Amino acid sequence: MKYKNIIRWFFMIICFLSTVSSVFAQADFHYRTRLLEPFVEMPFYNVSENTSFYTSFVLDELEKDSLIENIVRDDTAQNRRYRVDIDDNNSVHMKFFIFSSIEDAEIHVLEYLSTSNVYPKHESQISANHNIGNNVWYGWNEKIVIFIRNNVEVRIVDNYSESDNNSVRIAKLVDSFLLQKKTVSGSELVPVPKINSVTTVSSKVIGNSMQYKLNVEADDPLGQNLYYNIFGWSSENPFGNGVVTVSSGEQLDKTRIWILNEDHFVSTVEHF
Amino acid sequence: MAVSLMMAESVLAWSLPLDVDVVKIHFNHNTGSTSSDGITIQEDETTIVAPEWYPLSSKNEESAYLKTVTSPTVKAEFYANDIGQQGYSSVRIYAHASSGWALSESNVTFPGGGSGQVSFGTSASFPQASTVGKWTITWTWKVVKIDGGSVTPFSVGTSTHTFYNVLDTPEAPMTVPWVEVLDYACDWAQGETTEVNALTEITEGINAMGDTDGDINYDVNGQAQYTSMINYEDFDLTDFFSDINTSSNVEIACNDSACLFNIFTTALGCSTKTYRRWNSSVTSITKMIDIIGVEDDFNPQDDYSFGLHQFGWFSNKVFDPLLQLYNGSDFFVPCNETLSTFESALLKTNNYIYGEEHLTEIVDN
Repeated sequence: MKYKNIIRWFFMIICFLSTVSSVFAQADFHYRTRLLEPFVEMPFYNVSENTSFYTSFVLDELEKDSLIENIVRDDTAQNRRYRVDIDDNNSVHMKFFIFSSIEDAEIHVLEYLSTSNVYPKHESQISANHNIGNNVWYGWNEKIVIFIRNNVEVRIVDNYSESDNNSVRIAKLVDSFLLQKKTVSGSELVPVPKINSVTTVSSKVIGNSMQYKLNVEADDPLGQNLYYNIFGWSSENPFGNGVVTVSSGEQLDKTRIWILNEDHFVSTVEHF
Repeated sequence: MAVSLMMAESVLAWSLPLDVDVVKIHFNHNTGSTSSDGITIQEDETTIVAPEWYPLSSKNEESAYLKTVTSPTVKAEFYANDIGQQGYSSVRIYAHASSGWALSESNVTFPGGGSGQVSFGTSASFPQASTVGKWTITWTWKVVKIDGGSVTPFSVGTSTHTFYNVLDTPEAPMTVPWVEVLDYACDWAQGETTEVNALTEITEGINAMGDTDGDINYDVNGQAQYTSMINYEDFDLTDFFSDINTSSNVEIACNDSACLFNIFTTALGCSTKTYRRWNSSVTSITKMIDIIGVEDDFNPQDDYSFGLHQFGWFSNKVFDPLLQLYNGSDFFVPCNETLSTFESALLKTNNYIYGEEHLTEIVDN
């Protein structure tokens, strides 16, 4: 009897410590400052420095899952994305980005959070707890789900479906496949585009802003077409001749350029 | 455009064809004034300069006028190859139109073969309409006198022109309006004479605007596609026009539709801006609305999350092309609404605290 009590207490203590450590782990944040006014601190859960890296996404795995009816490329005029069909009346749009560092993924999300009209909230700021990703944000009654798992960012947006929770369902599914997927230990194995240089070609004043034309020299290790995105603009335009235009408003003394290839591998560089 | 005509002998005794060509037509011939000629406009980001009609250079460009200028002057140039050799020195010409704007008679002489720029007034019987609009006319240039002697009017050529009328002097960001913008704005506001009516037509026009499959959709992410989210003012108009002409999947957010309102209306000479409402951290939730585009064009629903909202702004009134409000029986595009009336009809939960005016800037990414 005495031993049974000891064992019971032992397990109770283990459970208590486990719960406490979990709470402390969840509360282990770092903060990134919003990039535009208001310059508030935005929470991110800390991620282990020993995190491994994905070198591909999970499109094949998703296509084979019984929940998914179809996955099709459904680019808008300005953005590259997929439509994930669940059935005739339920679908979501999905974008994903594969970076060579967790920091790049977090800054990319930070830019999105700084400019979105719908103010997605970090999991820690609301009651949602779907256990998705290392960090996850929800917007518009969870019709928008953005999460980061290691070096991959995924954005799921409900496509005017009949049912609720489609974005959460698909996000959980994507994350479950990511968790099963093989990773590598070195970020240098992630085949992101290589940015060789950024130079300012010209500048002029437009209203309250300076407009700069920048020449970006970049190569893609996979030999794919490149697309560019600049902070403040959600468009992902064909890279073309490498000359991009950046408007630098009053709130901005530097800008960040993102280069994407067709498989959504992403590099970034800060300029000015 | 060579035209050879044999004159009726019963009217004037001459024996060879009269070769008179209309070679150039100038609409915006005085760029320092808009009181009696066209206003300066641009196409493909290049200012259109007179002569707008110059077939030898394959040039036939649009012109635009203030709606108050109903009797503008046009300048035309002619060339007569051999009129002097035939012993004649002048003809009297006018521009006939089967309907709409026409030009009255002017004397044309041909020193050295060319006439130089000859001014033609507007026919008192056929002035321009004193409304906003877009028109295409074909003028038949007719000779009615040779050296002062009347002849049976005969044609020396035709010319076809597209022109626009705007309400007032265009304002920033469209101080030099784009033809691509006037094409939409003047068509939507055709026949209007007041600012509010024109703004209403343009707001409804943007709301119904289409890409290659007929509609523009709302980006549920709330991410502007053509507007900088750094300042809510920089707008990539070149990209937008390129996309609606080539893509079936154009999406926009409120910032984009607000900037479009600002652009299309200032091209007509209206002093509009955009207005942005926001709360730094809390979203506002909509009532039942029919948001622009969205799959089947009509898919009203509520509970959209509008962390911030940007819309058209004129004389402290709201014009919002992004959506249609519901009044209990009908959906309607909100136009000329006070801010409080608009937000009361739009929002179930109104958490907006701040408001700021913006003036759009055209940029090219």
